[in-house]
Amino acid sequence: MIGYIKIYSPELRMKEYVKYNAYYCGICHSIRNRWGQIPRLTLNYDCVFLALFIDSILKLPQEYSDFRCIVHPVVKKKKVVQSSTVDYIADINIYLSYMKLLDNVHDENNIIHSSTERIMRGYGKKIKYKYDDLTEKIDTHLKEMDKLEKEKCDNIDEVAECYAEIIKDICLYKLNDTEEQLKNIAGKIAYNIGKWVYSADAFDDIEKDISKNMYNPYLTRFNYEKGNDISAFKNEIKERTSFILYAPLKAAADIYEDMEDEYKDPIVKNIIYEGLYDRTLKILNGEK
Amino acid sequence: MAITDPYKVLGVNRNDSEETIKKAYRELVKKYHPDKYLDSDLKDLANEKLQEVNEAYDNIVKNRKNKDYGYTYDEGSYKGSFTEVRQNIAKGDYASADNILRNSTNRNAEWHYLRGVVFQKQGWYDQAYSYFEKAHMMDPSNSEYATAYSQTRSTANAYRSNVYSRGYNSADDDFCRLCQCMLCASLCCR
Repeated sequence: MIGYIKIYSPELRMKEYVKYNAYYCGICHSIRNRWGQIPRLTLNYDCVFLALFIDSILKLPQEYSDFRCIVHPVVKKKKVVQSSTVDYIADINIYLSYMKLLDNVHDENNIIHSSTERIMRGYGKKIKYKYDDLTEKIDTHLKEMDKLEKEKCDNIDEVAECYAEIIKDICLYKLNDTEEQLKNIAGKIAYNIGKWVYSADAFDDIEKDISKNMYNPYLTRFNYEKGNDISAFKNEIKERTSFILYAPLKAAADIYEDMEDEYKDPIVKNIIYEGLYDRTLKILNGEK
Repeated sequence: MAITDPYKVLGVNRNDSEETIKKAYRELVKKYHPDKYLDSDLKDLANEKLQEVNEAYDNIVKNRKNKDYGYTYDEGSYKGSFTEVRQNIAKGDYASADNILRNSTNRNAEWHYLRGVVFQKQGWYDQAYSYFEKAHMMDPSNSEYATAYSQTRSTANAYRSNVYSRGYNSADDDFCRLCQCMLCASLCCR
């Protein structure tokens, strides 16, 4: 469930593109400065969206600074500095990655999974302690998700909701002091995007889950019989899946329309309308 | 003048597309146009009719704009067995509405429709889809259920048209166009 929320770059203006990358670099550096090199590897684009989304609602001014990146040492790049959101998302990113690793170990305990889990354990525990009320909520949702997966739940809405609530809680934690109505709107957008991420990821994983004999909500929801042709099955459910994927996006876009213009950010808009649409098209067509 | 049912005035169905409604409206305007009745005794009647048609059309357009997302319904014109559930939904109290529905034994088309509405509001779209579908199948003549079902089915299209109206173009097309431009440009140079 990682790295699904992306921009659609052909429709982005240059300054927006620079800002987007500056957030990515800002989060990456925040991880390095406070946690060291290893957890940097966990950074993904979902977190960049969350940071941008939260900052656009908090209307925090951003400061940029130039730096040279080890991955691209020749060009000078920009990063966002001094944003509490950037630090916050950097931490949450590590926590989510750690929880994912933990889940992997539960699903399939091989040497790679268990050793990476061991490396990340210390970071995970520290962050859990630092944001104890939020991480407790996240853990509850993950436990619920795990329970539904074990029960082979055939209600995709119910399973996806666990992840949706996590994304919502992550946003709301930072928006605690904003006015109620705005918080409500932001929460709904985050919920719907979380729902999309889970549903999209699950559809993407159908082949993998069949081969590993693991739970996948689409298999139970649409009664996949073992041994049936996978591509025929995917084709059969394509229309309904396209509804399952587009419905939360439509809802998120509609709610976003209701938001006051001053809180709207062109990059967030680009992601909600074009970025996620583009991803959905690709996922439905089986492109990576 | 009070309009009873704007859809009836225009002679269209609740779930007809905007295009169909516009067409019906234009036909009626032509039919009752005052120029046609200049020297006729029917002049006043035609005027009255025209006004009615205009109001009905405005009403529909306005209503449709308001319910661009979510599913609303005419509370006034409604006569059914789940009044309390509908009141709860109108108030935004979905938990109570859900509770009454769960405990109800009368699982008719309306029950399915209303559960669909509650699921929709809750963000459980796949469930909502199934319930609207069932409601529509149980009572295909009911325009309320038909509207909800057809709106749900067109969700993907609605979002897509939103995206394309913002200027989304798939990258492949851009590359094609780029190639075409290059081709033309190189031809010019020769």
